[in-house]
This record gives sequence, structure tokens and C-alpha cells, in this order.
Amino acid sequence: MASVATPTSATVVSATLRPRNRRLIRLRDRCVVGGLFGAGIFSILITVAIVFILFGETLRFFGMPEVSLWSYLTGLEWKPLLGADKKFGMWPLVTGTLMVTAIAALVALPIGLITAIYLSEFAPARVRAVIKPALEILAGIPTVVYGFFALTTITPALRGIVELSTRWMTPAGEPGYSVFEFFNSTSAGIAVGIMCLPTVCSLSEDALRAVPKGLREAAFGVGGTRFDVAVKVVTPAALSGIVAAFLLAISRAVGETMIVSLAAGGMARLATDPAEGAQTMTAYMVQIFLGDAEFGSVEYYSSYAIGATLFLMTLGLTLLGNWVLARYREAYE
Amino acid sequence: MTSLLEGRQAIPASRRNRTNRRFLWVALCVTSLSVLALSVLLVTVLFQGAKHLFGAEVAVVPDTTHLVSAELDERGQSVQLVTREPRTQHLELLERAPEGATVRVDGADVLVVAPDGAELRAGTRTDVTSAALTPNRHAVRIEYSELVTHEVGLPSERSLDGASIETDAQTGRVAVRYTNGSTQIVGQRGGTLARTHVVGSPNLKAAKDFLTTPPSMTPTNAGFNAPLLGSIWILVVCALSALPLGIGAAIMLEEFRPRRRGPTHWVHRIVQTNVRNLAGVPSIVYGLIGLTVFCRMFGLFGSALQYAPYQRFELTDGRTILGQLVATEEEVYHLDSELLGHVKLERSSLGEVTQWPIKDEPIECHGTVELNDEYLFVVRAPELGEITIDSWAIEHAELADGGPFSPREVDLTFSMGGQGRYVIETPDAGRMYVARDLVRDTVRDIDTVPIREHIYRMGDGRVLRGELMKLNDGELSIRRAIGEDVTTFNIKDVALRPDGKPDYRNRTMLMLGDEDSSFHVHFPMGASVLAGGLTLMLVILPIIIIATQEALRAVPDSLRSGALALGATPWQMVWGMTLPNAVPGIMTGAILAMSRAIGEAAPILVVGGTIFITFLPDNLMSGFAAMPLQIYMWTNQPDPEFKKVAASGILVLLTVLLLFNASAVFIRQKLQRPLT
Repeated sequence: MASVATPTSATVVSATLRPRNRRLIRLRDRCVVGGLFGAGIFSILITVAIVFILFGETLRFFGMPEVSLWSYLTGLEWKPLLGADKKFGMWPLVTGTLMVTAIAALVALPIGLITAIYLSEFAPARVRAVIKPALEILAGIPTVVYGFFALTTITPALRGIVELSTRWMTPAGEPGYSVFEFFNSTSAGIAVGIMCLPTVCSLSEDALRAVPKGLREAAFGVGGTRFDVAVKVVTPAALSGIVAAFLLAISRAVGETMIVSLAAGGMARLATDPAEGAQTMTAYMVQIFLGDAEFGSVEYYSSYAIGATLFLMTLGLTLLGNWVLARYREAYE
Repeated sequence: MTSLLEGRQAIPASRRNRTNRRFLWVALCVTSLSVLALSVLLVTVLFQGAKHLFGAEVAVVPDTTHLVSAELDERGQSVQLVTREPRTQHLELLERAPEGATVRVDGADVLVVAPDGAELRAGTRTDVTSAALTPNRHAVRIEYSELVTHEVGLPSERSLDGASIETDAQTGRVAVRYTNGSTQIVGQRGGTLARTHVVGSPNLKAAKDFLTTPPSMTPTNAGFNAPLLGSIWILVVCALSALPLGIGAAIMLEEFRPRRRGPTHWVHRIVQTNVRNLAGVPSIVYGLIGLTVFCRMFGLFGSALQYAPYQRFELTDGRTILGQLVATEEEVYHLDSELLGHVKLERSSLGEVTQWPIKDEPIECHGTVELNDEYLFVVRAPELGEITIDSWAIEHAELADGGPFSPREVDLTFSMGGQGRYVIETPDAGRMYVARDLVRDTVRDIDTVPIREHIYRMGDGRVLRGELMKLNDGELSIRRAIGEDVTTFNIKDVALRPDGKPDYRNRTMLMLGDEDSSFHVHFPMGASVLAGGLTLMLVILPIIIIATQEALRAVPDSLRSGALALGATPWQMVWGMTLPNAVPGIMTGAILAMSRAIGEAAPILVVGGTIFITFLPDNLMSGFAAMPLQIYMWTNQPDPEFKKVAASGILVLLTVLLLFNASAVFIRQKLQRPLT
């Protein structure tokens, strides 16, 4: 055993183990362990704080005369800032969030999964060695940058493409139809999708590589092509990990703030058309905290209610992911 | 699996191979698509940023609003800009002109013509455009123009052979185009500082200027020093709080895992699942928590809506500062101004101090209201002195007939309207709501005024939400109106909703430590560096815990057993054996968590990172700007020039991130030794 430890570690051990007052050592140990325990408990305190603050302030919101829980849960209009006739129905914001998330999922999940399968099962080691760390670095790019990209590159590109491709429908010399509004959920959704791509790809790839070699060898042994092995054997075996990666990505998309607030606009309306702007729950909170509402007003507390709803949604997704991982994990050891 | 083994009908090998090849192609295409998407993102953003960051230098250029001519001088050392500047002058008359007298301009002579035909020379002046008697007939007010020559020096090292002068009528820009295709702006409308774009020759001075000047409302002057330093401050606070807590929690979870079932076992399991769930909470939710816990502290130490008396400090050098006195020493006053931040004043430099009106104490006075040529409202009254208000700041104005330009004498009531607003009420000319923090101090730069979104209720009942772009001769442009990008209205059709800004900054309810030191703390913390850093700590704590756990798990058990076998206590085992071996992994994880923290904008926005500030944080209680938040605000501005500035900011942010990531990779490569 001792031979495993390097010489430096051995000197460290002997230095810390020099005989001293045993009682003092034991006391110090107790204190340190207590401190560590405190640090662990702190994370529980954060959760308690989240629950109490979010739901406490949300209760205060529902206690206000303008609001009722029922109209919040069923209302189709969200008009918090307009004078006397304020309406607090959560669905415009929720559908806006879901619209952006759906577009993001359409972009990120298939591309991410196929890239992961390629990297794990097909790609030469050299390609993998370049792409994998690059993806990890890209996962660390701040979301404001994606928002900037959406607003200055994706939106003009989308509008330009649609205008060019509809030019034949309009009289000669005129530009084509401009279907996409300047702020639209498609552009935001695509940017969120690109943002989630490294997450999906990296985690799915980890799950695929965790499938033991024996499975692949057996499948090759019965005459499977690489496609058969990758898609019909390895992917099903890693499914729990892949689904967990998907859920994590979706939950990140739901909670994404800066991209949607930059690119999807600030109009809270029932999101039915991906070419229109849609305000998401997070974008509404940004609007409130950028100074549209004063402290203590009903708008101010409405952001806590939205925050609580958002928290419940992402918590649900996280718990679902954990459950999928625990329930459907195929252990091969 | 079933299709392979059972094979209801065996698929021929050729077809399987074809499928295989097809899938490989699809996978290759999709992979290159995702790599392409990400590289397009990086390249466009970095390219735009680099163009702005390195392609410009800052210089003061002359105002070319009244440009007459622009020429290169013979030696090619400078550009001569000749402008015709409008001037006004009052020619005093020796005695009051008779009733009904008129003014006539004859060549260079300005003559007062009495009704009976007698002429009196008031003075001489060439290029007079208009002349009229003042209402009291004691003087003649003349407007004339004067030729002014500006000489703009050119860098001597550039080749001027074949250089030409270009003028752009729309922006009033005058530029020199060199033979190598690069251009340099030598004049523009409005004058002042400009980033003079020199395309084609990257220069480091422009980048240095960007990093050392404060943010500004003029895209050409905007710099990045306050956000950069603000980010560094909050990052240090965040690291100092998150690292000990996160590493401690991870050690508890990994190294002190209870063996037996019991209460500690349960605590352990709860903490473990809890950390996993916390990692999935959206960062803006942490912002809400930070706001309630750190900035407002549950309202325990006083309501966030209380204001200390707001005072007007007149300095002996003629400047005026509006603010609150937060502390005094023997010879130094500490003021807190919403615009200038913390200001220290020598007692000797302080002239008169007058209390500004606070709530419920309106000041009634007689004065004048005027909207001058620079779109500044000027309110003058003996009791108030002169208040200059940027027209951006006016949230509600119902000025009666005559348009906003004419100065008029009015009875004023000046009071605090609550929600951080002043109300200037004039019985005959309507009412104005003015955001208090946007009232111009005479010392403040016009550049620091933020544009904010407001609700505009139209005369015809429509409601628009948007940003005020400009107020022009009674016309108002609003961006982000329903269905349109920019809409222009006549100001008479618009009633602005008075909209207050939430003010979480509190006035020192509970003070710990010396006010002057960098480390003093007051509760509640308000929108301070400390509150921002602690909020980011909440965001990255789960990430640090998880990364540290992984690093600890990678240390082989044999090392632990060895230490225990030699008689180490559990803590001695961790401190002497496990931790030293896990340090590279922990450091890598911590650096990656920090790089996440530096890019987070949402929680900082919620706890109230300041958007446009000209001062740098100098203590834990300072307000601050942060890089991602500043980039967000710039991207959100209607002026496309700001997008370029935002791109420069992104370039700086990504460079910092790259440094972080590179050091993480370096640590992983160099320090990590195989342990098994």
C-alpha cells in the first residue's frame, strides 16, 4: 500500500502524523468535521430559502386584490403594466416559454444525438480529440453572446431567406414577404438550441461510451454493421443517460434568460406563431427588474409568482431526469 | 437487437451496408452542421468585435454642423475645416428706443429706425441674419454668423499621396481617405469625442481606450472599464465565498459518508440529492433569492423605500452635486450621489448646502421653464437654483400651448413624487414627472443617462410599450412598438405613463466597520458588489460541489487506506492524503465554475447591477456594472452603432473566458498525475 503513495505524499503523512496531544487532535477533528457538515447543510439552506422566498412572495402576490390563483392558472391574458385593467393569466408567458423551448429542442436534440453517436461510434480518435474539448469550451460561452448572435445574425438571416424565397410571389421589383417579425421566437429558439447543443452532445456521448465494449463486440460478432451496432444496440443500452441529457437540456432551455429577452421580444401574447415575438417567463422577469415596476407593487410580486412557476417546471424536469436515470439505468457490471 | 438475432426475414448484407454508409454520411453532415453553427457564431461575433475594438481611435473632432469647406493643407499635416458658426449678441442702446421703433440692417450697420424716421446706429457687425429689439427696447438682439477655422492634425507616418476628403451630408462626417483604403474621421456633427474609425490598420491604442474609458450613452465614446472591474470585484467575492463552502460540502459528501443508517445518513442523502437539484435551478431564480436575502435582507434592517434627505451641495468651484450625506469626518464629507456614486469632498471646497425638497414638503416658487436647443429642460427659480433636466428623463409632460421650446414664466410647485421622481407642477403649463436620478447635476456628463422602456398611452387610446428614441421638435420616436420597429408620434398625442424605477439602494441602516475602508459593510447590502458576488456564489455552488466530488472520487481508495493504516484520523487522512492528490481536479472544476460565473447576466441584472456608471467600484458596498450585463444593455439599444460596441465587449469577455479555460487545461495537463 505505502509503495503506491509517492514520496511527497509520504512526507506529508508523516508530518501531519507526528505525535501530539491526542485529545487536541480529536477536538480539532470534531471541529473540522462540524464545519464541513455546516457547509453541506448550507446547500439545504439555499433550497429552503428558495422555497420559502419564492412561495412566500407568491402567496403575497395572490393575496393582492387584483389577482386570484384561478385567473392566474387559467387566464389567457398577461397585462401587468397597463393602468387599472391589469390581467394576470400565466398562459401567454408559459406558451412563449414552451414555444422557444420546443424550437430549441427541435434544433438541439436530433443534431446533438446524431453528433454524439458519430463521435462515440464512428469518428476516428483524432477527430474526437478535437471536437470534444471544443464542444466543452463552447458550452462555457455566456448566453448573452448567443443572444447577440441571435439578434445580429440569425434574425437578419431568417428574414433575408424568407424575403428572397418569396420574391417570386410579389410583383417584380418588390422585395418578398417579410414573415418574421424583428423579434421572433424562431430566432431565439434556434439560438437556445445551439446553446444546448454542447450539453446534449457531451452528455449523450458520455452515456454512449459508458456502454461496455462487450456489447458492441457481441453485436459485431453476429454480423452487425457499425450502423446496426451504434443505433440498434448501443443507443438503446444508453437510453436512460440520453433521455437524462435531453431533459437537462430542455430544463436549461426553459430557464434560459438573456437569449430570449434579447431576441424574442417583450410582447406577452399566446404564442401560436413562431414567426411572431413571444415573451417568455424569464424575459418578463428581466423586464420587471430592469425598472418597469416599482418595489412592492403587484407587478413586482408577479415576478416572484412567475419565478416560482419556472422553478417548479425546471424542478419537475430535473426530478424526472433523476428518476429516468435511476429507474432505467442498465448496469453492466 | 431482435432484428439482428431473430431476423423475421434476414436483411441482405448489401442493404445493411448501404444503410450503414448512408447513416455515416448523415452523421458526418449533422456533425459538421453543429460544428459549423458554433464556428459561425464565434467567427461572426469575434470578427465584429475585433473590427470595432482594434479599428478605431478616440479623438476630439470639431463640430461640422455648419461646415463651409474642408481641405487638406499643402504640407499634408492637417485638415482645415471652415465652419460658419451662428452667434447672438445684444447691442445695448444708450437710451430706450421709442415705442414702435424698428431695426434695419444696412450692410454692416445695424440701425434702429424710430417711427418718425430718425435713425440711430446700434452697432456694426457683418453677416447679420436677423436683428430685433428686445421687449424692453433697451437693446437690439442680433444673430450673425462667424467663420471659424479648425485645424485637425493628421498622423505624420501615414502616406497622404492621393488622399482625399469625403463628406457625408447625412451624418455630417468629414473623413480623410488614405490611399491604402483606410479612413479617418476628422469632423462630425455635434463634435466632441469620436471613435475615429481607421479601417485597415489595427491599432492597440483603440483597444486600450476601450478598456480604460467608462461606458457611455454615445456609442462612439463607450468604454468598458467599469464593467470589467465590476466583474473582477464580484468574481473575487464569489470565489472567496463559494470555494470554501463548495469544497467543504464536497468533502463532507465524499469523505465523511456515514457507514451506518441513522440521522446522519439521511442528512447525507438529502444533501446529495439537493445539490443535484440545485444545479438545475435557472440562474434568474437565484437572482430573486439574492435580491431578497442579500440586497433587501427581508426588509429586516429598514424598508428599502426610505430615502435619506436629498441635498444640493454647491461647491466653491461652481459645481453642484445632488446627493445624500452619508458620513462626515473632520475635514471630509462623504456624499452618495445616485449619478456619481460615492463622492468625497473637502469641507473647504463646500459652499452652500441646501436641502432638496423631500416628500410632503413641496416648494412653491416663481420661475421659468424652457426647453433649450440641446433638448434640455431648464427650470430656474430663486428657491431651486437652476435645474437642468435631460429630456430623456421626463416621463410625463403636459405642457400647454406654444410648444416646448419657448421659455415661459410660471408658478412652480416642486415636490418629491415618490418612486424616485420629482414632480414639477405649473398651474398654467401642466405637470412634469421627472426621474430623480436623471436630473442633471451640472458636473455630470450627458452620456450617463440611460434610456428606459416605458408605457406610452396614445391620445386615441392605444397603448405602446417601448423605448424613447428621440424627442424632436414635438415629435417622439418609440422603438419596439406593436408590430413596428420604430414609430414616430406627435408629442401632443402621447401621454406618458409615469413609471418609477425600483430603488433597492438603501441608506445605511446598519453599518459595520469604517465607512472609509474598502471592507465596510452595511445592511441591507443593496445593489452592491458584495450582494452581487454572494448571489453568483449561490449560482455556482452546486457546480463546484459536483466537480470537487468527482475530483475526490478519482483519488484511489488505496491511498486512503494507507493513511488510515498508519494511524491518521479521518481528517488527517483527508488533509494529508486525499486533498493534495485531488487539488488539480478541484482547481480545474473551480476555474470552470468561475468562468460560468463571469458570464452570468440574469442574476446580476435582478440584484441590480448598474447599467451606465462612470465610476469604478472601490469598496464592497459600491454599485457595480458587470461585463455580461453591459453587453446585454448595449445589444438592446436601438442604435446599430451599439451593436458594434457590444461586439467589442463580447471580445473582451471571451478573451477573459479563454484565459480561464486555458489555465484549466494547463492545470489538467501539467499537474494531474495518474494515481492508479
